[in-house]
Amino acid sequence: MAQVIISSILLGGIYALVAVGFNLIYGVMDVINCAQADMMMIAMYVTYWSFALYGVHPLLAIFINIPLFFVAGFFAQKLIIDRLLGAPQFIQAVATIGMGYVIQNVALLVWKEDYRMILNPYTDSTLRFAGINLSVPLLVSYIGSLAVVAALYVFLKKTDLGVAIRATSESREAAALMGINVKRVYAIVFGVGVACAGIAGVFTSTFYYTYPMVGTAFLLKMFVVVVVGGCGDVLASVAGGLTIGLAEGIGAFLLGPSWKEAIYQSVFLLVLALRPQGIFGGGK
Amino acid sequence: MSLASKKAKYGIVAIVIVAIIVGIGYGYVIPTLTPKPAVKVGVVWPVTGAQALIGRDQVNAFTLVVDEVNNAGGIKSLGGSKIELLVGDTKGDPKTGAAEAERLITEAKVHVLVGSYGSAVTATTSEVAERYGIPFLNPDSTSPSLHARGFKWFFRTTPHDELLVKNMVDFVVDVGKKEGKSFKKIAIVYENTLWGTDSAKVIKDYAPKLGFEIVLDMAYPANAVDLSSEVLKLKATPHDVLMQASYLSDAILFTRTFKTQGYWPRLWVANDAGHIHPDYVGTLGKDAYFVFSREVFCADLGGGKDAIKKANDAFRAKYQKDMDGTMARSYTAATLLVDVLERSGSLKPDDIRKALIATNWSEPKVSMPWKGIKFDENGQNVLGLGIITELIDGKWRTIWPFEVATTTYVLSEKPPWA
Repeated sequence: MAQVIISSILLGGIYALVAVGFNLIYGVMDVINCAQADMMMIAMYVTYWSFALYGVHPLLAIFINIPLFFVAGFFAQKLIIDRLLGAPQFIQAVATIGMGYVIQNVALLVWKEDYRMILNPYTDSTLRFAGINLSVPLLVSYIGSLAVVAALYVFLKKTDLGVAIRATSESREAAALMGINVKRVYAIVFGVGVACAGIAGVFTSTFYYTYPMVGTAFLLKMFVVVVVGGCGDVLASVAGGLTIGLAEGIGAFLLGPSWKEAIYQSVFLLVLALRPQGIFGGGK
Repeated sequence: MSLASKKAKYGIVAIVIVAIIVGIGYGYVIPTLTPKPAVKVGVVWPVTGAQALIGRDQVNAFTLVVDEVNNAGGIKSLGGSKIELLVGDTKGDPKTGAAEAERLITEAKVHVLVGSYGSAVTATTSEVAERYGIPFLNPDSTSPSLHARGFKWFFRTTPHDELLVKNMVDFVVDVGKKEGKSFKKIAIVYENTLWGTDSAKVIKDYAPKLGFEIVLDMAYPANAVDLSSEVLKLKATPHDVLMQASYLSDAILFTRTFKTQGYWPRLWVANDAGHIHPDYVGTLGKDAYFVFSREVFCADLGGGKDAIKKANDAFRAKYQKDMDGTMARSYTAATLLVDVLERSGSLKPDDIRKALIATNWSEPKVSMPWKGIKFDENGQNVLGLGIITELIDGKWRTIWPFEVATTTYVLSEKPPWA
């Protein structure tokens, strides 16, 4: 049972990591970025190919992905998302779903539907103590995920830019009146959010296989994690991730894997019924 | 313009005109010289779209036999009639398949239809053939429901899923006998859509009759992100045999999680699909070794049977690659059809059907690892057989039935990563 709980916590950390960038973008900009999981897929490919072609250690791909995805996100905001800001959320969702499809299909065209996995001593290593097996890449991803969330938290609380972002998130008009360049803040937030997908892709590719549709495996979980934890709150992603990870892991072990989806969806409905703002949500 | 070039111009025009006249004459005259009308065989396969590579390979394998027969003087009992192959494209879609089958029957007037790979497509194309009373030969669709429709014109040479899954259990019985070990407790793990649940049902019905006990019956949601709790459940339930039905992505993730969690079954039999996909071993490398999987065919089979070797050598000589199970079944269907036409000696649908029903092929004739070809009252070949293969040193090898095995199986007590 200890093994089940630990495995579930690790899984929860991964869910949190995938969801945090999405949550940041939603929290500040009110934009539902349905392409987030597909951006992560591209990040997985970047990690895979840097490893396969140039022998770059998968974890070092973080230093490629952060700038790459920040810049991509920054310009994606300027070119596409910015035009959607005033539009109804439905329109935004459809637009980002469309972006996701384009990304998926380009990936399909370029890399085919083959499954690719990074195989080296690091992705293969397992820690064993007291009868418990821990996959090292999963453990490192978990720690990495907490580090990313902590860094985001500090960034938002302690830096001037962070304050500007939070101000913008509270009221766009008031922030603009205070001399904050709202458009710039939005572009930066989208860049940071997409960079989070870049980081998530690096970690995910060390324990999961990469293929063009991999995003869809994570997308629904991402939504549920965000809603359960609390929309728009970076720390809440961790709470949401852990809740879903534990519910799924322990539930599957006790009741059988067929119940997996039913269990986490029930938790999702329960949270919606009792605390619609999410476990940690401030009621935005 | 100089006189010489003018002359040259007239010369070219004259040659072209003569060529056209000769060409037209040839087109008209030659067919009337042919002694007998051709046998029109319609093949309905996915030659464009997502399954195009498979469909074209099937047409190629079929063409190989047809060309060989035509070059050797055609169908003798029909006075040397040549076989004319007409290709219909299903695009892998049941509706398109039905329309193509209809076109081939009503416009091209084919005498026999062959196809159509995907079970859902075969369901509609064979329905059209049934309606028009044209014999339909199905080399390659494995859904058990297809022969249960009570069709009069439907003939299937391939063994269907039910039989193939039962082979997994038969294999465990044989290995138990050979090793002098008792493998009684079976854990079944399968993805929870139609294919996984259907094949699990066959095992649950069949294995207890042979004295096995199902100790774990675990369906899991396909395309999982994480499979730790599934593997932990397996570890927590003592069992001798693991039987698994997974598509590619889950098959990869399961094996990875086996490794992380230090799980290794005494005997592990996979149900085709994900485990035999080239990307499975491609992705996992050495960690994929020693898994047994049910299969319909294996490239190494030629080593154990002459008919398969002959087919594969001919295919390789023309297309520079080895046959897989789908192509080999297409090839086998073509050889059967030639024999049927020879025996019927007529192109009337009823006579062809009678010849199909009378088929009784023995084992050495079939270029598949089967006991032969003989149809039951539903048109299902009852002598078809699956094989069990094992991934040894990065290659799939046939290890069961022992009569066609190309090597002895390796029952590894330790996982490949140990």
